[in-house]
Amino acid sequence: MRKLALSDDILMSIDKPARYIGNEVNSVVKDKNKIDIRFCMCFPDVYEIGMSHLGIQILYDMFNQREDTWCERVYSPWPDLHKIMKEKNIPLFALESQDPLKDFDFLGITIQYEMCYTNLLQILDLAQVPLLSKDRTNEHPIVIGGGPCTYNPEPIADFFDIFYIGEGETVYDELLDTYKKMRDEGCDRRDILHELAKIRGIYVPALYDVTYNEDGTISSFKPIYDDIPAVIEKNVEMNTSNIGWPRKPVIPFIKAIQDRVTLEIMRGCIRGCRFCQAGMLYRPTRERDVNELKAMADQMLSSTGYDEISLSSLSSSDYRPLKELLDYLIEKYNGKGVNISLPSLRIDAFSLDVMSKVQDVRKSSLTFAPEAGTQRLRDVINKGLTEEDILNGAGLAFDGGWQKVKLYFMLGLPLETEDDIKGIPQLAEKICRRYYEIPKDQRNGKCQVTMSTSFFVPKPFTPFQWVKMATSDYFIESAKLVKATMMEQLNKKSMHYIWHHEDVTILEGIFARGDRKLCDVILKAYEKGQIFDAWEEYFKVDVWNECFRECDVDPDFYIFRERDYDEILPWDFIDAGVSKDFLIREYENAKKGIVTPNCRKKCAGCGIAQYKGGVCVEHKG
Amino acid sequence: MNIRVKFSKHGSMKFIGHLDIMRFFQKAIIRAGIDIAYSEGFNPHQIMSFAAPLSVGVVSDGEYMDIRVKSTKSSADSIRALNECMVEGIRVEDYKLLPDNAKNSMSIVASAKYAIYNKTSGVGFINDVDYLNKMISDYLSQEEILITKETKKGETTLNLKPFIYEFKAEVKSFPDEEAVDRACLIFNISTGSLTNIKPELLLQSFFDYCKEEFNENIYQIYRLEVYSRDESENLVSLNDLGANIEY
Repeated sequence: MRKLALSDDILMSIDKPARYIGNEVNSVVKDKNKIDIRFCMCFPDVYEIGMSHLGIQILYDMFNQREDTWCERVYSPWPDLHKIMKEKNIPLFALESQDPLKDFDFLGITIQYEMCYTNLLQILDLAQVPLLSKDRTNEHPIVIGGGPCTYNPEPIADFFDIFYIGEGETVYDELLDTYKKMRDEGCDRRDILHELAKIRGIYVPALYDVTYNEDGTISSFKPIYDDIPAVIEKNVEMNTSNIGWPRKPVIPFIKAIQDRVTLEIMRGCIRGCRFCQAGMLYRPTRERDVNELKAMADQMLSSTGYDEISLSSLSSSDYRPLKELLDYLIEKYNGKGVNISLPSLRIDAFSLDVMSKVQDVRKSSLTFAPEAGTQRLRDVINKGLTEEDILNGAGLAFDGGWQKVKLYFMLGLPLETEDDIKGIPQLAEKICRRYYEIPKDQRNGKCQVTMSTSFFVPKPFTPFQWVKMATSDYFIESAKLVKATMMEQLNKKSMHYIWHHEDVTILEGIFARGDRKLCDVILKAYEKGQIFDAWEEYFKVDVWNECFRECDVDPDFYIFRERDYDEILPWDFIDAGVSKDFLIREYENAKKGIVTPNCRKKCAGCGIAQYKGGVCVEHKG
Repeated sequence: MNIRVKFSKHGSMKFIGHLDIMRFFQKAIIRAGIDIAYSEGFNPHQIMSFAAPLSVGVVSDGEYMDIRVKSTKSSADSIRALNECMVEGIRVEDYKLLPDNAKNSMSIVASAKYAIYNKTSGVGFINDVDYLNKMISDYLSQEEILITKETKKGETTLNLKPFIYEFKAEVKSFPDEEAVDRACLIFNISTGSLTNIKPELLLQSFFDYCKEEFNENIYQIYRLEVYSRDESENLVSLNDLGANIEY
């Protein structure tokens, strides 16, 4: 039997030992004597969250198809185990082999949200790998970062040897082959990294030099060698048949957040909402072939035995063969022990018809994401949803027997006024009124309209990448205004309001558009014991404020400042496919309230058409 | 048709709790192509029940799960199909058809037989079989074996003696350890809905009697079998209530 890295005593003394033992169905075990490259994929949060992430499952499947590579997994040890591992000096290990990470060739970390930055250091620290790239030697694994946060990797640049910018399907083989060849030739780590930096989308932060102006903005950003690119172009898989999918998804023993098969039907989004980073980063929109999807669904359900399948994309209603796919899934699986879940669908007659087949109408709730309370502000952010769409959708739903509606909004959007904030409960009121138009004997008690607000964080590669972020006080005041306005509404008893913590949002804002100077602050925070900042119970705003002070870094510089168009932004060296001209045009349109049609209606000339694929070619022929 | 599946649970799987084992089997049954029956209703679920939940940390040779199927292959084929879908540490041992009038395993559990041994050879109290057997015989010859048991209503005092059906020390080899024989205590105690005696309860009482500290970390508890009572009140293994399916 496999020997576990942790003793029985430790496993019996911590919460959910199943997080650390591996052995899950479909996890891959190889003979390490027949392997050239040992790769460990990491999601730097707790197991149940990390195991829910599709990206890791895709890469895990992809790497393990290579005969010379064994890809394993690791997740952040929860604070209870963290403490024990530090006390007993137990090195962090991969789940499959239970071998220490420090002996691996690669440690690949997916960075999905800014609030996991201290967890990155926790992983390195527990793995007994030097926290700073410059302190690592040939004996240490190469630490690679990937995922959406790497579109501005600068606040964590010191901790990584490599960032992989873009989709994992494209150049990993080239990267691993180059590494293997050079390692076997006995090349030095520095030389290997230099060579890898020539591969498309590979950014080796140590090989780029940043200088600053007196006001703290960047004055220059240059590679230190002539033979590596000054601009890093993102990787995109343009052949949708080559987009990865896990043939045999690993099934956790304990319940993960996503406890189901996830079927990725499309990458990218045609909508062009101006606040949405994903909508810009994952362009061009690429639909997967419907017949391939049907086969994938069958294969993943039979290789896992899951009783639920969920369609995944940024906007599933924009997947053109959606009806064909859903008809197939419903016909084959509905009522046969497999549930079909449909997030991110636009509410209309078609989607309600589908939902009524696969959900218990009385129990389920419908979700709208108007994002802003008034049409004016929705035009500013280019959110195509109109009030008419929402009221018609809700009306149809109420007539169909639904009673619960959830509405998602953001506070602190650029150009927001008091009217926009008040507009949130006013929209909820209109929805309630639509419900109470149904004769009393035909409706089933009260309706429930839940408004949920989050605070807007400006992100790189969006038209709002230059804007000044709203302050903490503003967030608190605007949330109060929503609440107060709700209390003035006739149907306030049918409404419910939830809002999110504002401190975390401010820190997220700092990191999102930060530069290399933040590395020290993050390191200091980790040294002061910060981990799991994404978890409210572990996030400590006072500690973070202390770290900024001690590192002499002014957080306001990153958030409460409108940037000039000609300022060199920390992420400008990355080419995400959308041009700066387009982003400027979009920001100017936002200021004027001019809506940009979606990619299928009219090409907005964002620059991604250079990739010659997806939606960019579909509507031209 | 109702089927009783017997399985064993060893190695790292001892850290997987009862509910997660249930979820594991729900998926394994689909992968193995067992023609499981579903309940009625909007969200049908597999008709499945487990005999006596096992505590986390305990290994077992005698775990039982009853399922209802619409059709079935032979026992041998079904066992093979299920074992192709297991993970290291879980093995399906038997797959038997129950008589139509059989009660489900959960309701008929009467006792369970356990072994306990030192995880690390020599570290712990369970070493000298002769000495242990003498202590067991003294322990069992007490008029009453009183213990305090925590229940939902508070603490109650219970006489353990009538609920101990077997208790002895012997030397055995164990699948979770290197292949060396080692001393162990073996006991069969009342389990199930009537009087549920957890193994730790008896062990604590016996260790107290021997003036030894019962530190759970240094011992491995191992469930050997689960029993029901037949018409003449004899203990019979749950496995003996079904019959192999042969085609």
